[in-house]
Amino acid sequence: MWGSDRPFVRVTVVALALTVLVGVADGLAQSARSIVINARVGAATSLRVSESVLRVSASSGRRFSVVGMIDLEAAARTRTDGDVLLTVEALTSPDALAGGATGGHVEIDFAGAADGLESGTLSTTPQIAGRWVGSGVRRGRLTFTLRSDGDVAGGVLPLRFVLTAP
Amino acid sequence: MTGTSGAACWRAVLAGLFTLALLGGWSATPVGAQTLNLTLSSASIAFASADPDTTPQVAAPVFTVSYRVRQNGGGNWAITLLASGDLSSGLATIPISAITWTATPSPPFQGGTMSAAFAQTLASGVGNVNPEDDGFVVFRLANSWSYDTGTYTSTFTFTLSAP
Repeated sequence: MWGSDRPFVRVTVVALALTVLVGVADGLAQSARSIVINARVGAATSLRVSESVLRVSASSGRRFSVVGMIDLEAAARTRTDGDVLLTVEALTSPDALAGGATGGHVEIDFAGAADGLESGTLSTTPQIAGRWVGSGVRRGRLTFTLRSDGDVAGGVLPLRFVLTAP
Repeated sequence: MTGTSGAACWRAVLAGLFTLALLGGWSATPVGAQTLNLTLSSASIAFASADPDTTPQVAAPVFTVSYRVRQNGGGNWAITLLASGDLSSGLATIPISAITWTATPSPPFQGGTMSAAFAQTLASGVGNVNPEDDGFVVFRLANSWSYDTGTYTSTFTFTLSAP
């Protein structure tokens, strides 16, 4: 019985296999399209400071005291290895703060409290107050300390901050 | 002997045809029966550079997706989106998930976030869409000060399918 029906069994198995294969490949129709995305990122800088002047009160004799703390937020977009620089300069000479009968020499130092912020002495030429590499937003505080060897008449010392990036 | 083997062969052929006819009923839709048409309004999308302080999200111009589904019966259809990878400019990259989209009309269109790992659904429905219909998509790139300068690229693939 099985011997005479072997072709029947073989053809049925083949038919079953073909139907399964057709079923697997069946039914998924698709239409696809592609587009190119371009995003341009240009260089930019943004600087926010909490104050742009130092207010110095009058005093007598030698002095060493904090005369200002300025918070800042420096944002820059630049190339991967681009140098981002923050400079500060006094728009009038700190010596203009000296006065009184025994007015002497006045210097104002600054010191940074955050990664990238630096220390130095104010001048009427730009001094580096911060240095970073690459894009990002950096926050910190600069503390300004007055040193005098005589009387201080006091006054307002305007500052200029400049943030640059290639 | 010949008569016996010949009758066996005929039985085999008839059995095979019968099996095919019976099992053919399991496949509700024959291969390639649906007709799907998908066209896009442009071959590219561009995001302009912008100040992150004033423009936290950069929007690209409106993009039109035109689609048509025929011979689909009561079957489902869907349009999906898949990115080729992150936005890249040399060695610098921006995660592709920084790009999101909104789309109208909703339904059948829906918003989402781009992915290079899994196709995201842009639109879906049931049955035919005939005549052709349009969807309008606005892609937005999250802006950031942390991106390095450059021109970044990627590729998006839109796929209309009806399983």
